[in-house]
Amino acid sequence: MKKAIKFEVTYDHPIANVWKALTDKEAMSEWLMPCDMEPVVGHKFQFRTKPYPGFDGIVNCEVLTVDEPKLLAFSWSGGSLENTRVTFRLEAQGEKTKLHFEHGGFDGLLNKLIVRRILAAGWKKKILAVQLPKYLKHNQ
Amino acid sequence: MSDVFKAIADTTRREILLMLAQQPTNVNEIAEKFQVSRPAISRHIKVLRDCNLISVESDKVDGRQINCYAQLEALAEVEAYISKLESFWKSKLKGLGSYLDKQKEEGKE
Repeated sequence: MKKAIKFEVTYDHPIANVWKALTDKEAMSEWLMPCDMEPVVGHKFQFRTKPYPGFDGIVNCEVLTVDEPKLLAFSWSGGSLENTRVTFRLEAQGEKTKLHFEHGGFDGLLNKLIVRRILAAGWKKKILAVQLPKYLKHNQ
Repeated sequence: MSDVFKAIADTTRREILLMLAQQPTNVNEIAEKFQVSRPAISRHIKVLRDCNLISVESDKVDGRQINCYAQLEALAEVEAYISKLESFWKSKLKGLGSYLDKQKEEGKE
């Protein structure tokens, strides 16, 4: 299983322009999804897209790192994902910019799916009544 | 039937499971990673094995090594989810390129 999604993309644009496209909410809303992002550490924001079964269309994020114009990271929770982390690292290459993109932190997703599997496997009564509350308490 | 829930309620066992989910690993390597005794790891392995969360098999080359494999249907689901997410980002990052090109054409850069 993959630990993280990683991409490297080189854009034929200077680093300042790429940085702007990553941190300006109108730009982000256009190329990614409608959002109210601000490049301020601790800023909480949402991406909103079309819902589909199992996903309400909302991704909750919090800005984790802002180091203009090199590094932007925010948390990403939505659908089956909880507290995953999205990182954009920029590297100037003359008039071009290399983006190192990473989306990671899927361990929580695995835990959640394991729990879901187990719940579906027929121990519902015991688990819901006794084990699940204990488990959740244990993992707070 | 063994209690699967109890099996994964233990932090070490959950970490072993996550480790195996990433790649099959032999018992010695697991013991090294968690810095607990080999017998303690063997007990954890047994609990996971008893509830069919993992399978074990002697190494084909070195028969003394015991390899452990995670066997979770949930893994297939995670793989599928992550692969969908990967396509999502791939297309969005391409879209970022188009956005930048368009800004340049419109003289906004």
